[in-house]
Amino acid sequence: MTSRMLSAAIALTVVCVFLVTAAPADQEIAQQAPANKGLTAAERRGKALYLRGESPSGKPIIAMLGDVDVPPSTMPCAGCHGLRAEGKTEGGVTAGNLTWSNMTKPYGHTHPSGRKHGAFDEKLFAQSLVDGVDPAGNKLAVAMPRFQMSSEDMADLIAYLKRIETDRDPGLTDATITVGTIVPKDGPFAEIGAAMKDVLTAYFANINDKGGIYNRRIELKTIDAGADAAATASNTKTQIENGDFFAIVSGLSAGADKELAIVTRDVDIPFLGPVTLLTQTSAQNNRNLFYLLPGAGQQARALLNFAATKPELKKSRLAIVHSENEIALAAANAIEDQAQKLGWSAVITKAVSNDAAATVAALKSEGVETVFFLSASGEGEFITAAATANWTPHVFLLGSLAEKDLVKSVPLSFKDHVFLSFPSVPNDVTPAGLAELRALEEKYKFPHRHVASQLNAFAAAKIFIEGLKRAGRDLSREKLITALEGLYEYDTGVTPSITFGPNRRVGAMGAYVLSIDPAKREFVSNGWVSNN
Amino acid sequence: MKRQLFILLILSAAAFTTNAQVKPAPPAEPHDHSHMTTTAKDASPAEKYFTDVELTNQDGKKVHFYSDVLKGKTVVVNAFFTTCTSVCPPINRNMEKIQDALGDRVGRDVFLVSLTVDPETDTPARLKEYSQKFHAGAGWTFLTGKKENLDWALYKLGQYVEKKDDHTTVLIIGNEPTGLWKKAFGMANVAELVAIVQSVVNDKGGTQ
Repeated sequence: MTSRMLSAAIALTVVCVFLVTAAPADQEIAQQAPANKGLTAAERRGKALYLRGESPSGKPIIAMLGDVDVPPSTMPCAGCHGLRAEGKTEGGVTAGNLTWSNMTKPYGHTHPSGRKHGAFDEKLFAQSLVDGVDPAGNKLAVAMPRFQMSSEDMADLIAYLKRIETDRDPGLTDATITVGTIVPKDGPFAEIGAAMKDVLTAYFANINDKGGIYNRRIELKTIDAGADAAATASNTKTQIENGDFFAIVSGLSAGADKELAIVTRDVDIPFLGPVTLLTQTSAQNNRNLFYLLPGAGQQARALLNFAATKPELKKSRLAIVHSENEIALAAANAIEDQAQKLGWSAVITKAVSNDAAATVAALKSEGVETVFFLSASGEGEFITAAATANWTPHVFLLGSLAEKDLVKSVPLSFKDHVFLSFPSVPNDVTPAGLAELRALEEKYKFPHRHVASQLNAFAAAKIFIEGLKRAGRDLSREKLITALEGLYEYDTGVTPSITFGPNRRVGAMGAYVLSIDPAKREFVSNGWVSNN
Repeated sequence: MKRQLFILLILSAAAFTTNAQVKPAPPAEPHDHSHMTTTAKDASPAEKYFTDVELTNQDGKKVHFYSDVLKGKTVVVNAFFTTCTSVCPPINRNMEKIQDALGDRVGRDVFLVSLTVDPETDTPARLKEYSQKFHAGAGWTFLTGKKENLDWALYKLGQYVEKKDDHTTVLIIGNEPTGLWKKAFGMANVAELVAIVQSVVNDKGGTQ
């Protein structure tokens, strides 16, 4: 692999590094007309009660299960009757269909158990909640709590049940699915953002030209990333709340990762394919985030796992030299944790210093054999200083943080001693994947630029569409998330294969490990290594 | 006559299966029995029956289903999964109430055991978080593990299901040393459940 190819590979993630350190410019809040929310105030209050058991009026709601008082928030209607009130069966207990059209069928209902009753009306429905009897006076199933609530709350709940069949997630109509992507409108990364948006626009236009997904067109809107992380988070939040997006796909939001993890959790909107090295995988409760490629932490673990497969390196004396950069810190923490898992105890940690010779002397005197050098600069000097001191440790680096010209400056004595991790390599782009992208470029006339970023946007768009196809016509955010969780070794044609799961939010878990051949000034592939 | 009876039997069997849930085919028995603590010859009848599959608790610790979870103990067992939003929360709430009612006898005279039917999703970390929601004390173990092992443990308790949503709403209450096992409806009145648990805990065995 040549160094030119390498720069293409790292451009993708180098962007993230720059964004983290980018200086704030003038903040600009994107203006967008508030969208029609669709629900009336009463319906909205009823929805909160139905989905979460929250009392809209603030007056108490009491739920009794047998003689036990259960907090209504632990047994909201939607838990058993479903998000769309369609009803479901679990553990042999059937929770009925609560859509108003179903409950008010004039000929009533005959249940599988043989229980029969006539149609509900508002009064009979309220009575069933309070007294636990159906319109014919039969007792309801024991798993159905009895509720006491204010008449206002009851009216709101009924208002929502009348509306629930046609209530959809934001950004979703019978004819359209509105998708947001976060790109900077101006500043140093505006062009990269525009290049990514070109791909998304073309990909969705192509889908729409073929009839859309289950007769729905995909509409793409931009969310301005603004000048810094805080702006990205606040713009995104404002625009999601006003803009009626169904989901967010791809874009340049690196640096605002923690903030966006919180926003997407609070607003409860799926976010597929944020490009970043700071994957927020510890946010266990946030089911909305789906990363395609490994972050710094996953890559660092893969590097250590790779080291552990080498008999001469396994459990050797290891030093983590790191800067205070967020990415370096994330990697350093991951290595410490992974070392503990592997039972690799001889680990020391050291802050990076400008004096490479002093660092070398200190580590050499401590008998260090393996160095993880995690900093956005200085690894070239460090390796040169080590060579000067006649010391040849194995050096591991995050490819995304490495100097572009490193491959040319590594001394001959460090042959097979310098290893770098990459989330993706040019070989991930298959002829079929490339042909697909080229066809889009020709059909929709957009320039081939910032290719690594474009490939990332392409992969995200493709996975999003795959998720929509799998989720089906009766779409919801919840169904999209479940569909994405079912992706197993999905081939995008331009990235490593992507697998998600209930406990897996990074599509490609691990990293490519490359070493440097200083004589040929080339990278040598050591294959993909898992981070587990 | 005989033929008529035969047809009647078939019909009644058919009626039964439409009313009741069809019992799933048993899962494959796990191959690895090397973890049995005693040789099959010395094993107690209960150990032979349950076998000693390896599972993982909410702290990520490996435990053996017979020797660590059941042996010599009185247990209250239920099957659940953490992402279940319907019957699992009230049943586990009842488990919590049983825990409260029995106080410090839990962890000494009686142990609560909750087995997930969705081991793929329910990692130990998820079980831990879930257990905290129900204020589980030291005497309440949540178990996950390799699917084949968990399926086998559930099967031996009569709780194996092919689809997670089919899990039952039953509590299994057993006194391993005396061999008294009872079933109770998981959403029943707590006082009644506690009385059943106590009757099993206090069982002396032997008199029949």
